[in-house]
Amino acid sequence: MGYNVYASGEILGQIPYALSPHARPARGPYDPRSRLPPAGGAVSVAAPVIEVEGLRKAYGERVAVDGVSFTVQPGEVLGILGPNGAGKTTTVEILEGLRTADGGSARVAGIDVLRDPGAVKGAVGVQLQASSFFDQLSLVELLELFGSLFGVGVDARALLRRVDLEDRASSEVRRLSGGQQQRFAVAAALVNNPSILFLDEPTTGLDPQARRHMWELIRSFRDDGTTVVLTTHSMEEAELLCDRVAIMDAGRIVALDAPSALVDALLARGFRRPAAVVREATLEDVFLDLCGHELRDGDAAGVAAAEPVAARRRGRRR
Amino acid sequence: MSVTAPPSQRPAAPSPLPPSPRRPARRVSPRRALLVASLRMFYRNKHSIFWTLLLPVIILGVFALLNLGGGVNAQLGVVDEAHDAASARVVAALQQSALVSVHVSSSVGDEQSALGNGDRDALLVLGPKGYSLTLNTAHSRESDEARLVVSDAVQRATGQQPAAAVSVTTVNNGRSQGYTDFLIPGIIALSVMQTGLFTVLYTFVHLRQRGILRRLKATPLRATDFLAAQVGTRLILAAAQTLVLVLIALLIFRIHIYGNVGWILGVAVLGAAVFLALGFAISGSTGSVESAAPIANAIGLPMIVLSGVFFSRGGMPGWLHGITDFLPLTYLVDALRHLSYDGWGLLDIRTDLLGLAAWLVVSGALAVRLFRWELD
Repeated sequence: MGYNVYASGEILGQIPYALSPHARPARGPYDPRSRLPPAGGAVSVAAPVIEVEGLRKAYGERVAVDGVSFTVQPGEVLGILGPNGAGKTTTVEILEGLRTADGGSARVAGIDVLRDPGAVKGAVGVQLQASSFFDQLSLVELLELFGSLFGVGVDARALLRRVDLEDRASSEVRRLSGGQQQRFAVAAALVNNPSILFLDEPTTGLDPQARRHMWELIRSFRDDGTTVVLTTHSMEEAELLCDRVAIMDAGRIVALDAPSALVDALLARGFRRPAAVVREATLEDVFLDLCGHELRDGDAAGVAAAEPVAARRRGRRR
Repeated sequence: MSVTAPPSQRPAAPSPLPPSPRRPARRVSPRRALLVASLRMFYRNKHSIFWTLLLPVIILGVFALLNLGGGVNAQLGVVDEAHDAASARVVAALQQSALVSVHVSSSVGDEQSALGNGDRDALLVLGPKGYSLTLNTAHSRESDEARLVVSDAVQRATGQQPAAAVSVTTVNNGRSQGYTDFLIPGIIALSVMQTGLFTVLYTFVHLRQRGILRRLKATPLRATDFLAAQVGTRLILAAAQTLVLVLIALLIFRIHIYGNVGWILGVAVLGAAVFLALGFAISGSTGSVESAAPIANAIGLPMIVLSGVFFSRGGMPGWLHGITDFLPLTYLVDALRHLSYDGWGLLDIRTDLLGLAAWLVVSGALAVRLFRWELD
């Protein structure tokens, strides 16, 4: 299953989808040839929308980002993986114009981020970790306020519909469930109609149903051609959503490639999983089989909730 | 992972999100949008409204009660020009009354000027051909009390009907010097400081601790626009709060305000700006809500005691008086008290206004300089 679309971590072509395990909606009959790299040299390489070169950031003695370089193509979904403290959030926040860098260069949507961090804020959409929204304002009012901060008028209800929150339009953020709050944060990231979205751990702390709902949302952005940079701790998430993943450790990118290419490279180095671990299903599959895929964050205290979900679900394959 | 999907083509070129079917054309400037949002949030926070308005009224009520508990004590000037037995008995009877403080004098002129500047509520002149009582209707409570006491004393001392024996005239010198009147400018200054320093410090640190400011930082909003909107909101609140306080004081506590109420409002707003700037400057380096309260108290409480909010600073030792002259709350209390209580004009309080302006410039510059969306 070797495919050479990517070479040394740099993207060369635009057909990796069929190769990665994305559960995308069918658009035509299955054609095994599309798994192959494109024939000939007719692949046009679009100019990257994000170019990072030798980015450095230190907090006192501690080096958070230590010479990070990568590029992101238009419409690509890039995942940044890594343990806590690896420098994921710092890297992303420099690109969002939230933090200064000590060295290197970064261009986002054609803007020199280090020189003009203010301009990049207007050009991208961000969902941040450890952030929140005003209380005492409804979701609609918040989105309209954020629109004003970007100098644009917004159709707040359309944005809420986009993230499946239209029925909570007049609620306050603090009255929402965790998954709904994350989806609202994504809606707020969309007010300026950005072509680049930064999502910082969008599914951390969510239950499996809410997490899957968020994945659907991120997929829909990808289908719209929006460039997405997301950080995550979840390998499953990276594998499902990302065209490429950058694995960071101690401030450096230690690997950058398509998920399946990284797995192939590992296997090529002779790695074998202990046989006992290999299973056809995971505990999460068990959980979802018993509890269903439906979101529980709405006003779910209805009749349906009275009936044991497991009884309804049992025997049905996802 | 066995989720293999049928192949599909990516869109060749990235297209932006589909345009919304309806896009309101209405665009609001960031400042104005934040201002409206802040006022809306304040309006929806009923607890906050209640306590912001009620606390100063409670303080005013408590101190007014403390004062009223002693009963009315009318200041009565008495000049005995008759020097006969009857007039001596009248003076003696008056001096026995606990309801009036009798000031016996030999000079009608002195007493009339005391009546004129508000030191006396009533003046009784015992002339050889008849008694005359002058009441200062500006102090209606006290002068009413004095009239009753005088009538009673004249009747007991002379046996005559007071109505026949005493000719009553009234003056209105327009001056009142009651404690409540002294107190109200102090309470206004106190509530202005409360709104500026305390609530800003608390609210702002809270917003930062919860990452609400962090999210705003990720928008093109400039810090100066954010501060301007916050300050604007709270200046409007301070003006409204002062107006309500003045109305309550006038209608319920029946205080007298001699200055222009518009100027009083204006000075209150200037004072609010000073304390807002101070609040923002301090909150720049305050990490948590838990540490905000002690910091606010450490700054606010000494000023409340030292700036003459409740009592005149006259009793202070000279060196302390000299230091406290420069406190922002002192400038505000003095300016408001000179306007409201002494009936001075704006030109007369220019020193206090200059003091407030200097504080505003310094703390405003600090507020902008120390402003932080988030603590690293």
